[in-house]
Amino acid sequence: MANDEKELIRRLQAGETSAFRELVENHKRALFNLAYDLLGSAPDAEDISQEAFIKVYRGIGQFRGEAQLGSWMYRIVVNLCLNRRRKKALSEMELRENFEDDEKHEPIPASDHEANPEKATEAEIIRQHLRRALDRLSPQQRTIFVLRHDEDLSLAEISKILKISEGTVKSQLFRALRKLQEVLAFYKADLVS
Amino acid sequence: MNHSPCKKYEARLTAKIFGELNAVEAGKLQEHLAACVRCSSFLAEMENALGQLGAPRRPQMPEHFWESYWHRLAQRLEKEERATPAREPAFGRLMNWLREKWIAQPLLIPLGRAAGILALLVLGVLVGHYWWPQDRNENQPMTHSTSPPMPVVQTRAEQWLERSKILLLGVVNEDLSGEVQPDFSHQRQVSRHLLTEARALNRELDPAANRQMLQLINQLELILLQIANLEAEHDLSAIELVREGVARNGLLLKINITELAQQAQQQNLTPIKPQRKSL
Repeated sequence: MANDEKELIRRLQAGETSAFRELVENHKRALFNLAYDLLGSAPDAEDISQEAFIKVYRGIGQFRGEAQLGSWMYRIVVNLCLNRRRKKALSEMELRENFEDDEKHEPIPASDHEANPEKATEAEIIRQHLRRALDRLSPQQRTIFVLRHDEDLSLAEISKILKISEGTVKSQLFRALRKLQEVLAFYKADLVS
Repeated sequence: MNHSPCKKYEARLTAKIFGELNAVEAGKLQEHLAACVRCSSFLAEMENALGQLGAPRRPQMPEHFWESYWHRLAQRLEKEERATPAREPAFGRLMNWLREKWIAQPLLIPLGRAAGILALLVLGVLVGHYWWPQDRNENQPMTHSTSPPMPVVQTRAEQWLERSKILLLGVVNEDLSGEVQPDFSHQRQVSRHLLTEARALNRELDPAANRQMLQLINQLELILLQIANLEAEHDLSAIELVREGVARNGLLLKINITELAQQAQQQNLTPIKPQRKSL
């Protein structure tokens, strides 16, 4: 762990507000982006990233420095996002359509990834298919894939963040790849037909 | 055609695709790829797929969003801190010390930890015995402390629980044997409102201080979803499912227990602590 980070942790543990602000300013975009990549919603990403900072603020006293501060914060965001997805799945996906009609709810908006599909090029359509395939992965597979592909973290870093072995990271990534392969196969079949 | 790679090379292929294969392993894989169409096709397909997937597309948040981020976070933190008073620092320090000295020592075997915890419990009992006078009931009457008013979200959670209980009682006790089949449209409507409020409560309740309440809300959400999705009429099999769910999970009992716990918390019946002598 770098000396700068050690010093920042010391100041945080001493309760210095300026240290907490420094931490927030340094990591706000990374945590927001990670939450957005995992949830696909900007309001949720802001909410989750703020909640993560609050957890850091409250838990810094127990932080022993065994992991890097960044890894710890990533782990908090990942756990919060998994929890949020679970709750959303419960409250939105299981409701029938008439629920939406009765309550005059706004329909669940398509993610920003999928805007204006009719204007998309062929490559864009394939990209959207692949992105949708990621939504069908298990929460752990999707998280690992996002951390590797979107966040560009190494397998070792992912292993530390999620507290799983590198072997498990690789096997989950492989399954994610197989899912993408299936989607590509369907897409190619469509083109043939 | 969907090529399945050889199982033996799955890990190496994955590492290769994500650019994390060392030179030795890369050499071994290369030899295999030269002779295996399935693996080489898989590799090509996946490298192509990841290329097409590209970088994630994220919203470009305006600069003022980032400039005011700290301000919004500080406001939220302040609001949450007001709603849940911070843990006593001395207690926090004690917990840290215990973690460092006892719980986190890697050489301590589980039996040793258990013995340590037991010793602490015994110590706690002894300290408690000497700290409080023996005839505690006479000397220290229970009093209503002047605790701060309950946060709004707590009140909302209690009201939510009460409304859920009434709804469940109505569904559970509805007579389904009569000639006129009951109409559950009102219950559906109420369930939907309760689900909406449950989502808000899940966001707003502090998990540390409301673990039991949040668990109960999560369990009730499943039943409320079932009620919200009932057909307006004659959905007797679904009603039976709801009833089974309520009975199996003991939800009405849990609601009552949680309500009692909340009431006790409100009344805040605590013994008067002995006055410490100031130095």
